[in-house]
Amino acid sequence: MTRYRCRYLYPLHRHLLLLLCLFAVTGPGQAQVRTDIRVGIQLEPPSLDPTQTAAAAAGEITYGNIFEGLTIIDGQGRLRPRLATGWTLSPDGLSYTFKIRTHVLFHDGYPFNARTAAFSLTRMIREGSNNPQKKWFEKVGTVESPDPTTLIIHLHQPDSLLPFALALPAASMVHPATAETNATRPVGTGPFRFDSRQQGNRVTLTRNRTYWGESAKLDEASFVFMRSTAGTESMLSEGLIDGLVSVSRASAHFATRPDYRMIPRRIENKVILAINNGRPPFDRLQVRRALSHAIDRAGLLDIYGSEIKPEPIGSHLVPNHPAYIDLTGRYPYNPARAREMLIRSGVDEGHPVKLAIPPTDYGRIGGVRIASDLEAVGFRVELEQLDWKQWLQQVFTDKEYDLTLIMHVEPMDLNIYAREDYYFNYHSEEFNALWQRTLGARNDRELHRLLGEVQRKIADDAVNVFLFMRPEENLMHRNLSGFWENSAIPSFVLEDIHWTE
Amino acid sequence: MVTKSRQSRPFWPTGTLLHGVNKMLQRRYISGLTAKTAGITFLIAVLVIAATLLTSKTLWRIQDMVGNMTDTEIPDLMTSVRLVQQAESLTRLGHLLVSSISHAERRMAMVELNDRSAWIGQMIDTLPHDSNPALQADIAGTRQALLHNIEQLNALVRHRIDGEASGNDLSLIQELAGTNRELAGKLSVQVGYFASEIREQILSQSGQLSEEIRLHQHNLLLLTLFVLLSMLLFALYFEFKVVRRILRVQRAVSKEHPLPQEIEASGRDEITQLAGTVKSYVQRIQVQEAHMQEVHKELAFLAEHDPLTGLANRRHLYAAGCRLLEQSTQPVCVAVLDIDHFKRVNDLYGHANGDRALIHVARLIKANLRDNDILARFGGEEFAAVLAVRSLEDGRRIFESLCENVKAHPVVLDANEPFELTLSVGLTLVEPDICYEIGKHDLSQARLNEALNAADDALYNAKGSGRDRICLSGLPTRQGEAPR
Repeated sequence: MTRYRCRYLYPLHRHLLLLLCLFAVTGPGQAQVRTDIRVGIQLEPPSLDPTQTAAAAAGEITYGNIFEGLTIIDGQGRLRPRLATGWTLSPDGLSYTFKIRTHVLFHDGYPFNARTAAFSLTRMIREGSNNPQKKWFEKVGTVESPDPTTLIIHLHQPDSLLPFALALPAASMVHPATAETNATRPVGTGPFRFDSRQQGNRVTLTRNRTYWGESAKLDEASFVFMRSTAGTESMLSEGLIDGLVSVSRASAHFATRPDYRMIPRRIENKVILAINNGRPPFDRLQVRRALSHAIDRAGLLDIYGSEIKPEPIGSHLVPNHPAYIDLTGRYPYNPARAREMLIRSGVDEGHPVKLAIPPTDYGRIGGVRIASDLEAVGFRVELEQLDWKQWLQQVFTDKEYDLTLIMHVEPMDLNIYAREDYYFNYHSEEFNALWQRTLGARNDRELHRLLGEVQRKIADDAVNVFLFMRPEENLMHRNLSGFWENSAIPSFVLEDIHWTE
Repeated sequence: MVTKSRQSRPFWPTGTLLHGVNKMLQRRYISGLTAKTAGITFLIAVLVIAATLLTSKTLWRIQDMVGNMTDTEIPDLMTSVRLVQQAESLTRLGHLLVSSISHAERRMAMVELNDRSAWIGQMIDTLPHDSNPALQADIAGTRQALLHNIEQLNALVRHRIDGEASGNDLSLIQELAGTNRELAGKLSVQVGYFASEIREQILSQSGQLSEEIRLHQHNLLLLTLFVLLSMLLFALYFEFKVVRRILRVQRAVSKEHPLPQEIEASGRDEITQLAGTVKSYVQRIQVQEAHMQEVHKELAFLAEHDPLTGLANRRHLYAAGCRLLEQSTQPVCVAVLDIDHFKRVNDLYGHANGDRALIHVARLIKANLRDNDILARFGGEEFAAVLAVRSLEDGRRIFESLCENVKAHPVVLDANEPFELTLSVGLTLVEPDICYEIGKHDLSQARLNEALNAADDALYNAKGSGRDRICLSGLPTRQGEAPR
């Protein structure tokens, strides 16, 4: 009987197996890991070319993603080769020889070689260039490319910071055919290419399938512009964005939700009340010092909620920099003193002053607080809410402002105080000389000592009112990882980011 | 038999296909059954594939629709609902502005208002506008009015806080506050239009979706029925075009005596070939059988007859003789005949002529006896006969005439020499036995033996008394030695 049954069941077994296989193939689909990301970013850059605009947002979107430089600051904060594979310094310290990577193509197929690198650098440093970080390359004399894989940079004077400077977003490599249109259609060599831009809404990047290095894990990334606090909260609530690149008031609220977490970053942010040193009455030192006394720094430290604690600063360097000296006590909060100083300087009661604020959280909330502080010492304050493009044009370029609240994000950017035509309108021979001495420092100890003096000088001259360092943390969805947490460059590098489930 | 090469086609839409297949069959490209089966299986496969494709297409369509709903319409719906709420909140914020008593409060209210307005503007931008440009223009107008209103309020409230506001200004503030409320309400209603539009769209889409699904289910059912019907037809076709023909062949073959012309299958396929092969095989077998039967007959004949003369042999004589004794109601005469001086023929003319002489005599003897009489070649030149007679006299007479006949017809040998032959005969008579007993056969056999012995003795007498004569031997009494 068994034998008979076996024989009968055998074809049945076969059919069952076939059915099972069919199910395996056509069974319920498994949830797939996402390959796209949408991050919120507060400021919309007017241009996507970091070599032409000072707006850090351009670098945030493009650095390490669309554009690459000869060197890069990696996720651990270390300086690494990128489009250059290595470099050597001549014995006299006056020329760097870079070895240029081969088989690198721009997104439109144009090849990258030493000649293109030379073009990019020359364009950056030439007379009339709009490169926001031109100052960093003052020491560079000429750039030559004897062959496709060798780039030689000749300096007037030694510059130990040159390899670091080449890692700045403003030193990204571009090529002649598209350099002029990079503002709207950026073409670079990076692991992502520019896909589309909806003005006022978002910029979308897609994975570059012909990238010279390891492919990124994400297929698509969108940077969505958060134009209002209400909008940010709304979009986070509804999961329309996967995280925020910059800290906002919403961050504090959402940090407590189980589906988000805070990722620390090591950005050197300095929120300052910038003063137009060239416009009366602020051209007078006493007036500026009065301003510093008038602002209640401590009172500002809660604008991001109770979870996020900014650190007050007294000069244009951040506490986590080794050369930092604490100058927060230089101008203690003293509205009475401030009022007195103002009167003595001849500033009338009710002197009108316009406070320009950018469309950011610190701008909106901080602006209101500072306006109150200024009012308390006798000014008549008008808040001027500008969108980012307007701010860059009116304040940064045209220098048409009295006071403005702004955050500077570039690392080690004290050189802005030595620039001829920076929007602070601060011109000091002493400072310039001091800065030159700093650049010529022969070792770290000397460098740090000199940097200390630089900070003191800036504070003494009360060029701006230094408020606080905003703690940089990204608010990100809990299932995202691969962030470059320790890079000091204001950026959001996508190449290692991926969803874990 | 004419084979039908054009058969009725149950699946007329595929007439062309079958015609093509037929053509191929004629040229022997592919064999018939495979073509037929493949053709029909192909047909069913085509039906199933068509059903699958139809399903796929519908599923794609449904997927598209659902995707559209989730990606576009539902977010738009949410945006428009949110918009309505945000527009309504402008009223509250307007209040905050109007009721602020310090510049800080005023500024805070302004910042909130601007923030909210910016967000509203952003949301409006994302909604689909193409359907109603007039409304879009309206909304833009309302927003402009609101912003302008708020600016005015801001200035007036600042004056008021600074203590510089006139009575006019204060009442204007109230008026503007009222206008603010109205405008905010108007904006909320206007953007509400989007919400209802999109809701409508979603409803109609989901209605479409369920309609599609229902239609598809219906189609699928039809298709299933169609497929089942096709399978049924296929089964019938198979039954008639394949199974029946095979059964016909099988039936023809399983007859007791199959007729080759019946073992045939119409058509031009493997079954026809099989039938043809079986037919030729059966034919071969039948030929063999016939042949064997002939051989058997021959053997049977040979088993019972003498090959040379064609007369019965000893065995047959015994069998037939016994039978005659058992059955006959008349007396039976048993005779033994011998050719006189036959050795002489052999010696003088050789064995070939001797054989000829034997045949000659045998023929003559046979001619002089009746068909029913049993005549056998008993030995070299000896013959035996068993025949029913009326009496011994009757028998004697028969044999006398027989001997005369033989004598009168000499045999012609080589060299055309006639040679006279004579016979010596021994006769006996067996009376019929009318009683039926068990062991009758053995009895008759014994009686035959006895008779043959008696006849033999009589022959011996005949030979001894000069040959060319008939001697009688009676049973139970020995009688008749009458010389001729």
